[in-house]
Amino acid sequence: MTTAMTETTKIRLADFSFRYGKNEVLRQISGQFFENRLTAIVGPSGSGKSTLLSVCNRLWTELPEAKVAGKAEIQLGGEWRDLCDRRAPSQQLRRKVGMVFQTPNPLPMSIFRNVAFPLKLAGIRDREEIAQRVEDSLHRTLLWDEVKKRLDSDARLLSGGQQQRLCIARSLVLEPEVLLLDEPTSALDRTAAAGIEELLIGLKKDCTLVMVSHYLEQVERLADGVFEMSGGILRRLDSTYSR
Amino acid sequence: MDDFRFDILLLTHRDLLAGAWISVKITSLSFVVALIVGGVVGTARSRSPFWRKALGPYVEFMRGTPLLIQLFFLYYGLPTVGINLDSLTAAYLGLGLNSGAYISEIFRGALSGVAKGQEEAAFSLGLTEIQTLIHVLLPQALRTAMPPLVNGFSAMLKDSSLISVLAITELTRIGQLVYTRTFRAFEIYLAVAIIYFVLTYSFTLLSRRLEYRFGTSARLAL
Ligand SMILES: Nc1ncnc2c1ncn2[C@@H]1O[C@H](COP(=O)(O)OP(=O)(O)O)[C@@H](O)[C@H]1O
Ligand SMILES: [Mg+2]
Repeated sequence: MTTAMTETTKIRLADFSFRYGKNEVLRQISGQFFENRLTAIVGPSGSGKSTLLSVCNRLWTELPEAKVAGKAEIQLGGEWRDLCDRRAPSQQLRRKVGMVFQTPNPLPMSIFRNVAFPLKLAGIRDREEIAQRVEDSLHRTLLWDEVKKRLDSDARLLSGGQQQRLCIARSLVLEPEVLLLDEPTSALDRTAAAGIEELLIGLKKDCTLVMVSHYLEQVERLADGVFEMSGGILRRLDSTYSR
Repeated sequence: MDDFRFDILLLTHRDLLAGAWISVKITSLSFVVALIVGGVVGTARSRSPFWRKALGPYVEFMRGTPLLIQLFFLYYGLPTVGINLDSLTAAYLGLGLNSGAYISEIFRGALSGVAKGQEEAAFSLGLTEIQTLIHVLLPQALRTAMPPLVNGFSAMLKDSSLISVLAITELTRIGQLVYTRTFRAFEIYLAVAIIYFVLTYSFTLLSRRLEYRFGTSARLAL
């Protein structure tokens, strides 16, 4: 584990509650996620881990029946933003808070276009810049050498592990400050999972990482801090989180 | 029993084929109307509970009443409230709105078949709902919708026979006119039926081919 002088809070929750209709999923939880750290969230399925991630990039605002209460904020570019305001625009924020899902979800287009796509929609037109940033992202996710000769082939033809790294590359191309990972290796075999883990360790220097995981050994290898979610309550598991 | 006089067709086939061409043209334009109406209605209903409820009556009403009555209403009924449509406009609207209701259900089904992860991926990359629809969801839905849409075209081609009641000289109407000239009902209506069949069946075959092709790539997506 890394030793640091100071911790910078990136995301903070205080007495935060979350409901889907009448079903209260998060009950007055509090906690903080720090910059350049990987924070793991463990806990039984259905306990609200994915819901917590969906708060951090405001994905919850897409669900009409979702209701929040309490405080949840994220610090982006040095400024604190409210995560609880349903009506605030989310597009800008989501470009800075990437998300990787349990099942790799490449879009039905070529490998290159998958990574270039978010850049184009963010309004970047310069083809050379796009090509360069796509290549950089694929390098960072250790995928470049495997795909450089087949950038035009359908992304869905890649293996599961490659697809997941492609999805991470797609998030990284927007240079996010935060990366949310929802059981990113659970659909993958051991070798592919090891590849993703190596990649995540390398990302700590640029990003705040929040990862839901079922694998305790994985959490031990990667996490700087651990929370357990259970019955809608978030509890810090490690006492040594901010040493 | 009379002799068959299929030689009649040698004299009339030009008229019949011209009528078939008009049927295809009118159906094509009406189908564009149906695609726009069905695409918008189906998408709106699949995205929002409000629109699902609000547009439900349109879909049910169009599917639950005879097209012939809808055409009569547009052409003969609307002038009572001061809306005068010429017969072609009534045909485009009648066929388009009627088939639009069916097509909206095709779109709704196809959209609900797109993997949930695609929408999440798009939103989490900072796409707006409209961008998500245009760039991610609709292109994928269109692939699944393609075979039933082509079938819908073929069904509309058959239904277009009804617009003969609006005195539009398409295939059915020309068949009737040729019949009154020749009094050879058997030969003429058989020929008309065969022309309809050849047209609709080619589109049915096309639909099957598309189903096969898009079916393959749909499996790839899993
Ligand atoms: N979109 C949704 N609508 C309604 N209820 C949901 C939705 N998503 C999740 N839930 C419910 O919220 C609870 C927590 O789900 P989730 O956050 O996915 O748990 P976890 O990721 O820990 O398995 C579950 O009871 C689930 O049924
Ligand atoms: Mg989950």
